[in-house]
Amino acid sequence: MATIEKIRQVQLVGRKIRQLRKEHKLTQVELSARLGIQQSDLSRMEQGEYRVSLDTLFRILAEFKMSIGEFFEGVAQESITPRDVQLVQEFNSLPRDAQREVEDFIAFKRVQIRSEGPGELVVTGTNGAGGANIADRSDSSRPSPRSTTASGR
Amino acid sequence: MSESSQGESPEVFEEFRERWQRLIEAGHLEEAGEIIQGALAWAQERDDPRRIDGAICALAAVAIQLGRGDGELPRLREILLRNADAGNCRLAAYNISLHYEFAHNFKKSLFYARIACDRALQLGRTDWIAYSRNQLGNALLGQSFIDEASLEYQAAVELIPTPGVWRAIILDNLGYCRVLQKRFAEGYTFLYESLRQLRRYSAERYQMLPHLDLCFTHLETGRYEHARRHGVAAFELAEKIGNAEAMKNALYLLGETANLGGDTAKASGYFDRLQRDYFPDSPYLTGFLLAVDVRKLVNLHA
Repeated sequence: MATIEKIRQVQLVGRKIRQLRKEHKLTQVELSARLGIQQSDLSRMEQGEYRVSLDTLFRILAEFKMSIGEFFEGVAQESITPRDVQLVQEFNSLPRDAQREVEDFIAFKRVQIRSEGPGELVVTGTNGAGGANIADRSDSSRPSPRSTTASGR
Repeated sequence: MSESSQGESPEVFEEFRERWQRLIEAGHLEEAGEIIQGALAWAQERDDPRRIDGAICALAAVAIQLGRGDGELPRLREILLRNADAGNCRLAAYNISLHYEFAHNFKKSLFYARIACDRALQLGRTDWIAYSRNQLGNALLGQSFIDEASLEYQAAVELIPTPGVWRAIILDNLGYCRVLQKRFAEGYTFLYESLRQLRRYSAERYQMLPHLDLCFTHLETGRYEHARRHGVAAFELAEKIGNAEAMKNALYLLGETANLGGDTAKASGYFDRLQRDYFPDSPYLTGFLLAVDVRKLVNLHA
């Protein structure tokens, strides 16, 4: 089934909350008081060990007045707009092979932008869904950018 | 207490008790409340403090379940502190724990659940021990202590071997834990068994719980059509009984199901409704949920 890969790592979300808290110069005690939760619970949440109700989750988002771009720097620069939704719908309507081509092109463009130029690219392999992971040879120590494939959905 | 009241009280009061317990099991809480009011008046006429306290605890339990429990805490605390009757103390502590669970204060809920469990153990009543351990599980699960909670639920379910509404509710809790522990086969078994028993006993009010958890389980295992079906059933039941928390969770799960199933337009519709009806000050919410998978962050039982 063709879907966009969503950002799913709970650790990433926890780390992001910690980062935003520090950027806002808030201690865990201060933020947890504002959210109406225990400091120990916030600490576990930042470590990706704590699940919360929808109310609490959205209180956290509201506390930082977060857009998608703020929450996942580099993933998106602005909140999802109706145009973004339309793009997703159009992507989903493509055949699977065509979707993979789009994904590979996005991965290519990311690497290109990151390396501030066309760079020298090499296809390092495929992931489970057959999508190509593309690494930038100019910095091989970094993990390859994650391919936005339809895997696992 | 007069001699005559002592003589007639066991039968009459126990009749009241059986009636309200049957109504609670069937999910008819308002009607149960009326019966308990009658029992309370009966006990007050006879100046029977033990049964007055028992009726007050039962009334509080219904009020808490209906989301009107704030005013009940002082009376429950008084019964607990007076410590006149171990059974009523257990009931008071249990209901205070329930109140804090619904208020999402799981640490306090855990504290009172432990008191309720201690009292139940002193009294040696198996069913009371089971309910208290289930309550301990709820307080632990609310704090994401999933393994510890599942141990409590496992113990509770073993103490109630006979099929029935309360066993079904505990099975639902245990099933949800198993799913969070990625033990999906067991999770499915417990959740479907819970739903079957609740249907068998016509406990419609509580069927919403396994429907929600089955929606989540099917979502976790990529069976989106099954997830959608249970999500819709959960939402309809939640709407019928006016349970806002369950409606929120159902809308979120239905949106997530549609999104993961590739129907972004439908997902937007569910997330939009969630945002509009419950989080009107968070206009970014639909976009956020379309882009970010928060399944591993969300606790449906918190």
